[in-house]
Amino acid sequence: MDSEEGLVTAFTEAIQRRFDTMQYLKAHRKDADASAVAQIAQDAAALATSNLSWHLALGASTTASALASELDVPVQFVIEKVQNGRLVGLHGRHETFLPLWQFLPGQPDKEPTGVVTEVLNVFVEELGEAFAPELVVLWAATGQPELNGREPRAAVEEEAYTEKLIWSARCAVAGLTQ
Amino acid sequence: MTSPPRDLVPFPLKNTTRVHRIYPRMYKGRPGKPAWYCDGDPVCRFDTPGSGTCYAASSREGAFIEVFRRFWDAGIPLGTVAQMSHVYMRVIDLHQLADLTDNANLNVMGIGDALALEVDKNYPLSHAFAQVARSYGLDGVHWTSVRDRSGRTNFALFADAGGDYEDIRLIVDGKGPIPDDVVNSVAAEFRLELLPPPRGSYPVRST
Repeated sequence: MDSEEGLVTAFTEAIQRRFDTMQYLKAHRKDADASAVAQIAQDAAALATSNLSWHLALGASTTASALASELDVPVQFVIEKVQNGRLVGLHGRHETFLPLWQFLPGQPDKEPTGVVTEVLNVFVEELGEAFAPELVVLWAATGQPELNGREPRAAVEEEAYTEKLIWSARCAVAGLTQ
Repeated sequence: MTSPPRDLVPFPLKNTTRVHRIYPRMYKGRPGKPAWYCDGDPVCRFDTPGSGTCYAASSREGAFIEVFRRFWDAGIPLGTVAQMSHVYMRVIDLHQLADLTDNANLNVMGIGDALALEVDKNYPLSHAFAQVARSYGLDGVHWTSVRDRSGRTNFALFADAGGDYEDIRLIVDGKGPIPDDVVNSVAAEFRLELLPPPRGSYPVRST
C-alpha cells in the first residue's frame, strides 16, 4: 500500500471518529481559531511522517517482548542490551524494536552477528555516555561513502564489507566526538 | 618557513576569517572543547604524525552537514542535535592553507584526483597530502565538502600537538546550542524530516 495514501485515509477516519464520539470536541467544533486548527494539523502531520521515517529506518524488526519470549529471557534483559549497545534497537514509546538485519537470517538471538557487534563497540566506546541506540539505527539506514553509498544494513551480510563497515562507523562517530 | 611549491595555489587566511564547528556539549564526563585538534585517535582525514588538526567549516550549515550527514537519510535526529553545541571562531595565527578547492592543486605532488573523494581506511592519500603541505610550512587544508551542493568549504587547521588550542590559534566569538534556523535550513535544503526522539513519539504498540 502507498504510505501517503494510507496515512491520509487512517488519519481522516481517526479524526472523524473522534469528532463523532468525543463530547467536548463535538460541542465546540465551530469554536476554534482556524489558523490554530491549521497549525495543529501541520504538527500532527509532522509527527506522523517522522514516525513513519523511524519505522522505515528500522525496517523489518522484532520487538523486545517477542524476542524475550522466543529466547525465554526477561524483557528487561533485551531492553538493557539495547540500552548498553549490545543489541541494535530503538526504544519507542510503547516498545523496544530490534531490526532483524543484525541477526543471521531467520535466527534472532541474544547477540548480533560478529560484524554488528564490532560496529556497536565502535559506537559505545567512542561515544561513551553520549551513546544513543537510535544513532546506530539511523547510521545503518543512511548511505555511507565508505560503502559506495550503500546503507550499512544492506551490507552486513557480505563478508567483503566487514572492515569497511567498521571503518565507516568510526568515521561517522568521529564527527560526534571531536 | 619553506615556501610552498610554485605550482601549489595556497588559500590565504585572514585574521578575520571565521570558522564554525559542531562539537559535543559533554564528552566522556567533561565539557566538549570548541577548538579541538585531533591527534590521530580517532583517525581523522588530514592527520599528520606528531601534530594536531582542527576540523571546521566556513558556515554554520556546513559544520552541521559534516557531523549529521552520516545519520540523516531517514531524518535529522533532534535528540542528538540537542546534545551538540555550535561555536564560531576567528583565526588568529594561521596564514596559508593548501587549497583543494583549486583543481590545479589536485594534481600537484603526484597525489591526483582520488584525494578529493578518498574514503579508504585510514585515509592514506589525505595523510600523505597533509604531511607534504605541513612540510611546506602551510597551516592546513581547505576543501569543498563532497556532499555539499552550495559550495561551502571545510578547513583542516594544523597545530603542533593534539588537544585544546582555544585562544592560541582560534578565538571563540560565540557558542551555544545549535540554532533552530540552522537545523531548519539544512532540513529544507536537503529535504529531510525532523525526527523527535523515538521514545517520546514512535507509537507502534506491542501486540
